[in-house]
Amino acid sequence: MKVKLVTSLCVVSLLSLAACETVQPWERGTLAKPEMQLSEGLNSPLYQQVYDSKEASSGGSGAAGAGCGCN
Amino acid sequence: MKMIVVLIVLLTSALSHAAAEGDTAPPFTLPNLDKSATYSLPTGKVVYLDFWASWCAPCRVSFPEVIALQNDLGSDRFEVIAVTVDENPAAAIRFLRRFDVPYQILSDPDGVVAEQYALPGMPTSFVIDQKGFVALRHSGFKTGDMASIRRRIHQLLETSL
Amino acid sequence: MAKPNPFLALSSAAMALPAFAAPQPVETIVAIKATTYQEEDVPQRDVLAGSDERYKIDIGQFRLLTPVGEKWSLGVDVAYETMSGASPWGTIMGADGEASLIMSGATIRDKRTEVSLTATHHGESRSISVGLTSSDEDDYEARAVAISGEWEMNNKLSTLSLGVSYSNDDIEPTDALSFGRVQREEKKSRSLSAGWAQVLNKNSVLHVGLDVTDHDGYLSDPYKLRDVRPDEKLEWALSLKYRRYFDNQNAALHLDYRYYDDDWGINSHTFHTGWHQNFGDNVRVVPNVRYYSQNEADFYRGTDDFGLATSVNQSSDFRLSGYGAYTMGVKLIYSALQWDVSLSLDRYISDKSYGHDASDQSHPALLSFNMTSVGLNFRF
Repeated sequence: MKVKLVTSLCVVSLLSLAACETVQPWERGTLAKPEMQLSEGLNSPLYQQVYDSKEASSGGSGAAGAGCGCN
Repeated sequence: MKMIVVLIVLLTSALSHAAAEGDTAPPFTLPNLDKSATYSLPTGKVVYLDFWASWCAPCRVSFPEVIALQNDLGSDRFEVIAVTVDENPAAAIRFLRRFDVPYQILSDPDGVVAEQYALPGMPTSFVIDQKGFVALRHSGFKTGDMASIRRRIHQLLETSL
Repeated sequence: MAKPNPFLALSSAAMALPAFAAPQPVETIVAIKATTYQEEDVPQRDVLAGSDERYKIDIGQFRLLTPVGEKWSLGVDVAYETMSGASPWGTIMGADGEASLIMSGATIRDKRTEVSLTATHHGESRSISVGLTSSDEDDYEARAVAISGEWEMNNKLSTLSLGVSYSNDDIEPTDALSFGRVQREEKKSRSLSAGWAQVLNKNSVLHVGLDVTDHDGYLSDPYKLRDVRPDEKLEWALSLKYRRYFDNQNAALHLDYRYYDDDWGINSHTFHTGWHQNFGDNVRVVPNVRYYSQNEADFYRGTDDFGLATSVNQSSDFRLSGYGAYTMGVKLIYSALQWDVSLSLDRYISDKSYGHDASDQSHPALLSFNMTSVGLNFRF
C-alpha cells in the first residue's frame, strides 16, 4: 500500500511537470502575488517547530521561490 | 518542401522577435493608462523605453531613477516612455500613486508589444537612438545600473550635435 | 522540579532556515511575530499523579532580511520562548483497566533562545547560502550549520534547490541526579534535502521536495520514567506543494501533502489546504485545514512496564502512538504598501480514531491546543 502510494505520487508529480507551459516574463504577475508563494515568512519555522515537537514526523517544509521572472 | 516552409516560418518568427542591440526598435502604438489617448514610439529623439509592472520588485527601485533621468535631461531631444504590462491596469495606477511621473505611461495588458520586443525578463529597458535602432538593452535593475545607462544616452545625445 | 523541554525532545534545532530565493532581495524586510500556544488540560480522570495542567508557551520571533552590496544578502532570525506547564512522565494501567498518566508537577517558567544567521551570495540565476543556528535553554543546547543552493532554469520557470545541514545537540536534564536521569547526552543529526519548483502555467506552480535525515546519539526522552529508544534513526519525507490562482474569485488555493517514513516503524500522512481569499486591494482571509495521521513506532507501548529490561527499546510517549489530528485555522491579513499586519487563529485536536492506523488503546496524553499569533512585516 505504502509503495503504491509513493509511486503514484511521483508519477503525478512528473506528469504535472510535463504539462508545463512556457510563461513569458511579462506574464508572471499572478505568480508574483504573495498568496502564490511557496513559503510563508515566519509561519514556516513556527508551525514546523510546533508540529515537529508534538508529532513524530518532521521535514518536508523547505521551499524554493519560483516563477517571479524578476531579475 | 515542408522542411523549407518550416524553416521559413521559424526564421520569420525569429526575425519578428528581435529587439536586441543593433536591431530596429519595433514601432508600436499603445493607449495610456486612463485610455484617454494613444501614443506611438517617438522618432528623431533618443528614447528610453522602460517595460515595467506593479508586481515587479526591482521596478520599485528603478522608478525614482528613471524619473530623475527625464527631469535631468529635459524633453527636447530625449523622452522616456514607460510601458506597463500589468494585466490589471488598476494595479499599475495604484503603484504610480507614490510617484510624480513626468513622462508617458502606456498600457500593454496583453503583452503584444512586450512580445514584439521579446523581453528576456522583467524589468527590461531599451535605449533607442534617433534613427530608431536599439542602442542598449538592459534587463533587471539594481541601484547603480543607471550610471551606465546614462553614459550611453549622453553618448547618443552628443553625436547628434 | 522537572523542566522537560516541550519543543526539542523529538527534534533538533532549526534545520529550518528561511528559504532564500535566487534573486537578491530589492529591499529590507523586517518581520516580527508574537504567538501564544495553550494546550488543554488533561481530563482529571486520566491523571493518576501530578498536575493536569499542560503547556502554555509564548513565542516571540524576529526576522531581518536585507540586501548587502550588489550580490549579497543577510538574514538574521531570533526567537525567544517562555514555557510553563506539566508533561507526562509515564503511562500506567489504572485499576479501571484504562491507561492513566503520571504527570510532572506544574513547572516554573523555562526559556529558550534561538539565533540564526544566514549569508547568501546571488549570481545570475543561482544563489548559495550558508547559515548558522544556535539554540539555548536551561537543559538543552543545539548548534547547526546549513549550506544550500538554488538554481533557476528554463528562463526562471524551474528552480532546483539542494541543501545539506548538520546539527549537534547536547542535553543536560535538570534534576538529573535526584530523578535518576542521564546527566549529559549528545545527539548528532545530518540532513540532505532536494527540491524542484516548477511553474505550470500563468496561474499555478508545483513544488516537489525530498528530505532525508539521520540522527545519531541519545534519542530517548530523559524526563520520562521509562523511555528507551534506539541510538540511531533514519527518516525521510516526500513533499508536494501546489498553488493555483483563480482569477474570477481573486483567490489562491494551496494544497500541500507530505509523506513521512522512518526506520522506527513510523509513517505518516500530512495534508494541508488553505483558501487565500482577497477582498479588495488590502485584505486577505485564509481559512485552512490540516489533517495529520501517523501509525505507532515499533517499540511503542500503551503503558509502561517497569519490569521490562532497560536494554529493550520501549516508550509510552503519546507522540509515538498511532493517531490522527486535525487543525482548523484562519488567518486575516491587512496589507499596505510598506507594511502588513496579520492575525492567525488555530485549533488542533487529536484522537486515535482520526488516524489511518491507530494504536490499540487511545493514549490519554493525546492533546488539543489553541494557538493565536499576531504578525507585522515592514518593507523599506
